[in-house]
Amino acid sequence: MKQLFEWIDNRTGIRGLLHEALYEPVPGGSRWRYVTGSMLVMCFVTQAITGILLWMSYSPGAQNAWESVYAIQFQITGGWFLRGIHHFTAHAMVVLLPIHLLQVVVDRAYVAPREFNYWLGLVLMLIVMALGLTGYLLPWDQKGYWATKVATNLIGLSPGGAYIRKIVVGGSDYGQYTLTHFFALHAGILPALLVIVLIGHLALFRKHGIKAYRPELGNDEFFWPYQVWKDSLAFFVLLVVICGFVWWEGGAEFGAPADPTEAYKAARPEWYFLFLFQLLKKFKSEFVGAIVVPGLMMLFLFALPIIGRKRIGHRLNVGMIVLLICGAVYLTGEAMYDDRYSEWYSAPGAKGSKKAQQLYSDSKEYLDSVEIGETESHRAQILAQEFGIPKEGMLSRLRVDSEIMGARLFRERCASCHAYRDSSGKGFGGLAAAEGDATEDNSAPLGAPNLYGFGSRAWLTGFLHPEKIVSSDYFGDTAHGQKDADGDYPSGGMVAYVHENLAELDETGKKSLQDVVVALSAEAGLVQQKGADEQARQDGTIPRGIDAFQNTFKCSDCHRLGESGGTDTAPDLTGWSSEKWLIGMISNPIHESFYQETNDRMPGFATSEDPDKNLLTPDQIRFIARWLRQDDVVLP
Amino acid sequence: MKNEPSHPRPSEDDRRNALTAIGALITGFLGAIIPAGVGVVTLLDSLRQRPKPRAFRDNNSGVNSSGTGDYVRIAHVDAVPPDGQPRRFTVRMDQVDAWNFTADYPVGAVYVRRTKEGEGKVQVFHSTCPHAGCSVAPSVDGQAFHCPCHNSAFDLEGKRVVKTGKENPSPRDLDQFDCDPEKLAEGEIWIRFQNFETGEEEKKPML
Repeated sequence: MKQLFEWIDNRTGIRGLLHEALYEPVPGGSRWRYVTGSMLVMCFVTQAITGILLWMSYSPGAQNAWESVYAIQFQITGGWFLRGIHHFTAHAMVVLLPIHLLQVVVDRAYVAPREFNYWLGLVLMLIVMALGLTGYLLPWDQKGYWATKVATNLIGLSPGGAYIRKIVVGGSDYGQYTLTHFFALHAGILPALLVIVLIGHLALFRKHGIKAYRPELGNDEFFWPYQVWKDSLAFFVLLVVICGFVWWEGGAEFGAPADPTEAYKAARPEWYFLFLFQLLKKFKSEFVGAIVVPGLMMLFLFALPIIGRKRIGHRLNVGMIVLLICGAVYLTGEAMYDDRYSEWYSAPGAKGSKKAQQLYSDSKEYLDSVEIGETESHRAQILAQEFGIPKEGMLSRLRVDSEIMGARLFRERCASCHAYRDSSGKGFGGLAAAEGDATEDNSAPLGAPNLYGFGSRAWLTGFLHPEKIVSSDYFGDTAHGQKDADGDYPSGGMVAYVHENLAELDETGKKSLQDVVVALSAEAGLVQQKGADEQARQDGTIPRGIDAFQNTFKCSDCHRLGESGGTDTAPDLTGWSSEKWLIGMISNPIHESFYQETNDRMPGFATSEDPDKNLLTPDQIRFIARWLRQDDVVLP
Repeated sequence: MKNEPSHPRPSEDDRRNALTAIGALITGFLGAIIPAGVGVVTLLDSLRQRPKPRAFRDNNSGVNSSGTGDYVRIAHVDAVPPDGQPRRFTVRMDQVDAWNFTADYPVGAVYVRRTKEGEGKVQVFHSTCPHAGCSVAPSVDGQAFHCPCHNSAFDLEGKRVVKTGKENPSPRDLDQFDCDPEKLAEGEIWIRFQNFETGEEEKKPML
């Protein structure tokens, strides 16, 4: 063994190299405060290892990127953990970088003769940030796509930047070449540069030796094993924390596939770029906010060794760098505060300050969008799981899914009047959402019923309740729910009926009314209620309900149900809330089966024979109807 | 080592050294520039407008969203609500994305609204915020366009407005498209769709 080592050493000189590398004296002995640099190197090695292994399963391409990350995340054994480590180690590096920088500045390790080493360190910091930026796009999910789009648009602002942007993006629009370019940058060019600069950084570090902090406090020690022990223990602890994050968060975030035609309203950069994002809001000119100010900050950082030649300059530097870090922390905090405002404070109401109202509604919009993003992401995962991913990419599957498209269309076309919110207020749309926007006099009808659970027993039970029917969840914000001076409901036959006939029911009456609810809701044939409907059909509740509909409550005096009853003024309830009924209602609410002249403000979305002239296509209306009925929530 | 014959010291003949040095530099430079140069040329190809496949060249529904193409159909005027509320339409065009060519593919979105003053008059806005390229959306009350990223806001005419307590960072109003007047007279909305540079006061086509 010894002979073999001798032989190798004779041919390579490895003993000398090892000795050189390991037996670097540390003046004053090993210290915990020296660990940040080594930790960063170890983080980078971790990124290289996990990155290359991720690379083995990743495919950059508009129809492949999201899809291959899906496989990593959900199909490949341990893939989610590998991706999680890669993701959170990147965060750890961004946390360690400013600490390392601050330490170098405070300990005055950036002045002569270590200027070049300091500059290389700054270059390394920029490379790490570029790695973060390019990596964010690679999963090709909505968040990464839209946030990165903003970032590349900003490149276009610098002189000649539009050309650089076009080369980086690989054309005018995001597409295949954007992914191949970003991937080459992320996995090839940037890491190679990083390695080269890192070698220089370490070589210069060795050349000048460690800038010891008060060496008189201890005896000199060698780098190995004393400092290495501290370095590796520190990194190990960090890794445990990283693994904790991965475990706790269930891996790295993964949104729905990027869709260039469907903007993601909650597009935010990764948290470590939030200070730059917030900075953009502060300046009238984007050029100043995105290029000049960050550019000056970088210039200042590069000038540090020159400013720091004198004692006073060094003090200035320390002050400025602390100020910069505090500023970045403040801006990050402010960005988070703005976004989460509505989570922490209740609605300011009409009396609150305009500013508070604006903050509240913006934040509400943001949080709703986050929620929507999570719903879509979850849905995409379920679809991939149940149907597999088509070769054309997951997006082609999403575009024919009623859960995705119905919700998108509803938000775009219906939600300015109708809310879709469950009892806890989760969901979107409806004017009730923007409490701040409500007009001072609540006289004018502003909205339309909340359609969450439309067709279900619960929805109908609320509708037939004297108080609830005039709440904003039902007819409260419509013409039907408006009282005139005499306390009547001139255009609200249903509201008047509920108030007059259903307010003071005895126990038998209440039970009969429940039968009506069950019978009518069964007309919808909701998938979710299938079992309950079948049960009701067998135990006679439905026939009882239909009988009560016709005789006890005289509903058929106005509403048609099946073969009998009905007038011109009330909707036909045959097949109420079935797919066909909803399609008819959305297409043309003034059709003879629906509201006719008592229609409030519901537009007809497909009233023309010529499909080109309609507000919605037949497919779109079907998506909305199926989504409202929650037909495809559970896949067959 | 000890058995090797001793050699004369290397010559310090300056002229010969200089010539060899020049030779080394030239061949070294060529050796590096040929592969690197070819590589850079392929990279610069991104700046070129990529053509449609030949079979589709006569199809004048636009080349790609950088907009050298002709008018594309957006919708019939009747498909826009008459009350002046904006409606979002997906723009479908022939799309060239690297090696993929897809005819009639969704490439972007516009907002169309009817203006109050005249029947059949419409305004068409690009859905992208001129500030940083996020997508604007009508506000909850339908009275304005808001950008969810950095607080830009525009009224229904596309003009910049200031939201309460916030700066409006957008350098210009929403980008508007002109409609093909002949088609509009027939009740059809056709525009020359293209993307614009963001963050600048002047509205100019995306490079």
